[in-house]
Amino acid sequence: MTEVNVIPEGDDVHEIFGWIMPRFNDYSSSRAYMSWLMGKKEYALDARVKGGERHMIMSGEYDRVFPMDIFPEQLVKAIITGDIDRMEALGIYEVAPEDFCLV
Amino acid sequence: MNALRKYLDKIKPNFEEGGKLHAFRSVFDGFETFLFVPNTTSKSGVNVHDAIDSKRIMIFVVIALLPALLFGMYNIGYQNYAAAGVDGTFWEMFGFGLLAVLPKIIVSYVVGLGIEFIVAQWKHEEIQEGYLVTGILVPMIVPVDCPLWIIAIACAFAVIFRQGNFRRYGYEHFQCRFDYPCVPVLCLSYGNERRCLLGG
Repeated sequence: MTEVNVIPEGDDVHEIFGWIMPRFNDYSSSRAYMSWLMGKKEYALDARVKGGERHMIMSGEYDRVFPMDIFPEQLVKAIITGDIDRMEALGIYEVAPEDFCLV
Repeated sequence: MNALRKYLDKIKPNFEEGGKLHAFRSVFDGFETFLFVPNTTSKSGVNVHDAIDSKRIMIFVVIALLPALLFGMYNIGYQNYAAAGVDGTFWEMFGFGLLAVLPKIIVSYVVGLGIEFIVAQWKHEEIQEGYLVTGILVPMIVPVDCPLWIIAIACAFAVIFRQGNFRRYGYEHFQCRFDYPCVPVLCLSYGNERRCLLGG
């Protein structure tokens, strides 16, 4: 079965002071966003990245949400540094790009 | 809000490549993302992302540090009044501590963020938020009588070594927030202390 999801682009949205506002309408697995107070809520997801390009922060977020029993952050780092042996050791063949879509 | 956004859009071309204020591109970019969440969209692969970003993470760490910072300020005043054997009100004690700590925070942020801005501009990168946390940790870990120049050196050292030279991936063991500020602070404070003990 093929399923097609259409989401808004979101590039017309301008959120002010994103670093401090409660942001109840932004979905995040982190509790830095106050949307976790809202319980089970439906979110209008869009395609915004909501940030710039930064260096990777080892925050343990992937470990918390990853269903597979691998070391996702170490794997991402091995991919960034281009260390193929380490990528294989950490299980690159078991994952797809969509597995990393949360962060 | 809309007027502000329109104004930013109007002055933005000046900071782009070829604009007359191109030298301040990183500063403008930092200021723009401080005001508005970037609305760039993902161009390939996965389209839905978690909303978390590093500005938010760093600011929340700073918020988490504030209670300790405020208590530290009060405690400095309390210790001072206790040592002097004088009774003081809560606000007098807190005020004393505030005036003792505030210059350290200002020096730390001015030196660290200054270097951060210059490096970002020089390397054509966006300004990294990591220093927001380092900049509040350094004044919190130094002794209260630590001279400001030691803090300035510590911050410069921390930013240049941690964020400047070892920014590449795979060098995380060089990226500890504490180590680099600690080195000059400890060396110089120790030197100071010895001088005091020796009556120099």
